Amino acid sequence: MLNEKSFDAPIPGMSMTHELGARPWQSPPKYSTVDDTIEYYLDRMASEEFLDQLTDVMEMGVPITSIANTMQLGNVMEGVHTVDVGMLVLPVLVEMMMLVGDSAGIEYDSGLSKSAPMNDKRTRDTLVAKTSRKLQMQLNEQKKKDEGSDDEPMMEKEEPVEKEEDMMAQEMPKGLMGRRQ
Amino acid sequence: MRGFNPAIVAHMNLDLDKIIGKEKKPSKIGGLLAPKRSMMNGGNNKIDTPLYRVAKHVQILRDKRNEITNA
Repeated sequence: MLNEKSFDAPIPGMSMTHELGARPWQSPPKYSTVDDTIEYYLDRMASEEFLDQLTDVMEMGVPITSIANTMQLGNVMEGVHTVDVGMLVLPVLVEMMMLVGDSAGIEYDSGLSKSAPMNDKRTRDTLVAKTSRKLQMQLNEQKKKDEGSDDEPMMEKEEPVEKEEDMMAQEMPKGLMGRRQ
Repeated sequence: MRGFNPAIVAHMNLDLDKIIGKEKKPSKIGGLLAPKRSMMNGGNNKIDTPLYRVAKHVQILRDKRNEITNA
């Protein structure tokens, strides 16, 4: 398993396929200090939309450390801050998300302990809500289809099929090279 | 297999007691010629380090979290 070569790695010289500075992480970052970056993250995390999404993801059992790492990596790629500032900010992000989880009163996986506290067999509220939403949408679509089919008379539907068959018969090749039946 | 996550390492290695330590209140010495900060003691320089500021932020958030969980 360990001896298997990974083919996901970048090709040597791949980083030189673009001009230097063409990528966002090659230009100066938007926030260069830890304080500015923390402020940026705290502002972003204060929005209700973000909090809703975050609690949903946390309730699904995604470890907080993974979310924090993904967030900072994404912002490094977008040129918001540098890699080293991202590493320094990571504990603040983790702690902030834990605070959000505790204040929302949800059970979450911090990702810091080896044994995950989340039980896989437990049905999570968000999953139940999503499934019920999907079912409701399917039911609504089905109702609309049924209502639409009730309005149209059955005879009108059958006519185009007969017409299509006539058209097929007419379009049979008749030239010298045409296939004979 | 779980990949390397720097968030776990960063969070685990952040020893708040070691980084912040016990803060001493500055002694008030009156007089115009009294030194504002002692030149020999470089202890205040740690405030300038980013790690100290991060630790301070984490401490505030952790205290708030403890308040919620203990309430």
